[in-house]
Amino acid sequence: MKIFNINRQVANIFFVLFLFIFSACEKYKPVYQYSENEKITATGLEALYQVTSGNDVLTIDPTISSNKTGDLKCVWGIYETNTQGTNPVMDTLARTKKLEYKVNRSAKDWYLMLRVTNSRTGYSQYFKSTVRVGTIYTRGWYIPKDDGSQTDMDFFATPATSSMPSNNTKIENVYSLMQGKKLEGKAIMLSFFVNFKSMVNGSYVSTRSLSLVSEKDVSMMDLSNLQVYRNFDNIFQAAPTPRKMDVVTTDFLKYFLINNGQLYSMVGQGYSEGIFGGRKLLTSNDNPYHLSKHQIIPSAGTAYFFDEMSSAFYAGTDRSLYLGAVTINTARLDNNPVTPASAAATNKKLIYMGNKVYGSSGGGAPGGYVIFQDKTNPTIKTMYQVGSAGPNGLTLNAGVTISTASKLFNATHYGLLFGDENLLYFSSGKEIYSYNLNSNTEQLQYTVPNDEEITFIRHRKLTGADAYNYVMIGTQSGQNYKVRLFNKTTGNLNTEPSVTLTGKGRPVDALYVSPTVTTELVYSYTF
Amino acid sequence: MKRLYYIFLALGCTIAVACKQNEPLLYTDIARAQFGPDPTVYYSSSQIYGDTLKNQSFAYLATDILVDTIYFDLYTMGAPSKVNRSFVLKQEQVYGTTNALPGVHYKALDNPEISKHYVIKAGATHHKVPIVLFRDVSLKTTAVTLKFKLIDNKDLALGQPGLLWRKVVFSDKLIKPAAWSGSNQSQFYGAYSEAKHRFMISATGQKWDQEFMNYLNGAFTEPVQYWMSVVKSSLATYNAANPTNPIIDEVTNKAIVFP
Repeated sequence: MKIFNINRQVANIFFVLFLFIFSACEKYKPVYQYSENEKITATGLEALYQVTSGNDVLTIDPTISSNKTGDLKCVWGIYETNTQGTNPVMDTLARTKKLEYKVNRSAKDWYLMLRVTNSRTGYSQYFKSTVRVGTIYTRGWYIPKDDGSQTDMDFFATPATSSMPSNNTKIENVYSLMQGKKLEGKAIMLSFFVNFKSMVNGSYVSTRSLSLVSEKDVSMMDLSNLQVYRNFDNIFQAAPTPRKMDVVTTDFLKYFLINNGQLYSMVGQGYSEGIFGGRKLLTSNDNPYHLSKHQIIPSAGTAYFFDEMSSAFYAGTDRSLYLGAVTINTARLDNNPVTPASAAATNKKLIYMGNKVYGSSGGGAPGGYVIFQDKTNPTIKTMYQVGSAGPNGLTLNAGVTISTASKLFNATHYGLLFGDENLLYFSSGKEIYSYNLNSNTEQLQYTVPNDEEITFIRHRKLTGADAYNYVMIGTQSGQNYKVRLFNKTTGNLNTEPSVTLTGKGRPVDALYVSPTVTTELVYSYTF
Repeated sequence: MKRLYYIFLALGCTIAVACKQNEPLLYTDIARAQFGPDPTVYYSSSQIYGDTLKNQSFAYLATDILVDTIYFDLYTMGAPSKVNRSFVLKQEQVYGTTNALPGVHYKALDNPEISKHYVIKAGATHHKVPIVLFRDVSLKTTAVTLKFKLIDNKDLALGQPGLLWRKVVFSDKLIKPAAWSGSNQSQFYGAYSEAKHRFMISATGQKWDQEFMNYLNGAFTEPVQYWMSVVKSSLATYNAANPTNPIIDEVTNKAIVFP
């Protein structure tokens, strides 16, 4: 029976249309899958690898497997951590399961990435490890020194297993060896910074750096290769005059630089190009000031500076153009209150001030100690415990008048025990004493040979894999120096130093760095 | 099925002959002229209407500079010519503004001293058009507007309608940059006054215009700290040297201050 009477031509058109419609159909693929998810595992990978650039070969042969059948392909890559303003770019290291990589990266932490792909399913899984890269310069002791007119530094390499230095590994004058010249002026200080920004491949990155300061210059060096990336001429927006460097320091959140008694600051955690801002003013009238090279720098708190002209404390920040006035809220001297409290500093010359511990607010341990000398009557010297009292205040408590008969009265070098026993080490002539800050008593600790002059006292310590705890005494005899590293027992120096480093020149400090030092907060950045 | 085959064949042939290589459009019209942006961004479609207006201030220049020349970019359409081709500019009045006066605020566009420069050189398709501005004393208090347009002549006809004019607003006054506001104002610059702005320029040698302040507003905090330190220190030095003659804010009639 014929239902529709259509001719053959129309039927052909319908047929063509049907072909188009048919070809447009696609087989239904279910959206939901109920089979087990693929899981790729890789064993034999460490969370952290410590290697020396230019020396070590990073060899890793992991065991990889999947719960699905297929051929597993590996890609190894490495990328930088802690870049600023740019996304890190991953460099492919190998496409084999076994990695054999001759490490040639700059000294810092890197991420090692392993991607395992099942070529049948297309599924990939990523595995990440930290590679802590060092160079021969990233582990050992540095001694900043001068020859009376120019500054250099010696380097004493230490093995990966110990922070104990040896004279056998000394690289003499390593600064001028790498730069081809010394820094002009006598040596001031050497600091280690983790996060100072330097330009690498077009972006600013946190760079493990050494800061060598002389009277007339400053060198910011990449610890990897000791190459200078900032100096006095380009560490400021415009280099100030005169060139009279005092200090470069940090409280972790911000950096401070004092040149000719004038304060400059820079952001420490955040966007930075490693260049300090403008000179801070004391008042809107730009009243003259001259800061002492001594400060108290709590971690991420208020940094206290002392103006030698007005005999007053000031606070510095990285945001304000002005130094903030700091009020002495309370002061006690020889068990009596000082009234007004500000009189404790009035007409005083600051002899010494340093950090005892970083934290100081909230009623905790004291932040540091200060020693004053009266400008009118130099026979009056006082010492106070400095505590924080909010952003614009401090306390000067437990003050004592230093007896003219005491050894401390004629001290020439000072070194607070940072975080340890409540002792202040100092030198008087050839002798090293400790001053008990609780009982106000002195104790002879060591006497240097007659032909040596003491050049510095410094306490440094480190915990963890490279732990050490030294009171260090630097001396000069003629053209030669000795730096004695003493262990101590309940605050007292052991009879003999654990090691004595020797070299040429006048040493001003000794600083240990290693890949395990990953924060600025392990050392005090005051003298 | 044979008929079906013919249908597919016909469809295929139609599709095949419909394809043709796209040929570039060739300019076959007469020679024309029109303004355009700087040559470095000439081929950027988003920049085609850029540079229509220029703001110019003598305030950034030394006081003994009484004449300044600014330039606009003129382009020709069509093939380059083997001979020089002149073009003609004419001022156009702008309603609601103070229009610049020829001979007072700018060198008249038909003055032979300037019109002789209104020539596209042989072989060229681009020309920097000079406009000579005068630092008339009236500019101290008033900004004037000079709008001018192309007039067709025997050498060059008019180009695209929207690109036939340019405008310059100029004065001897300082203009508050847009970046002088918000936290920048409260933290660094304080309330705006022309006296303060002028002092900042003289103390630093920087223009403190929008471009410079954009740079200071960048990712780093240290540059603005440096420049404001210079400004504040300079003001303190000035005030110490001139205790009875402070720099007066023309708005508040008080000595200028910074936060």
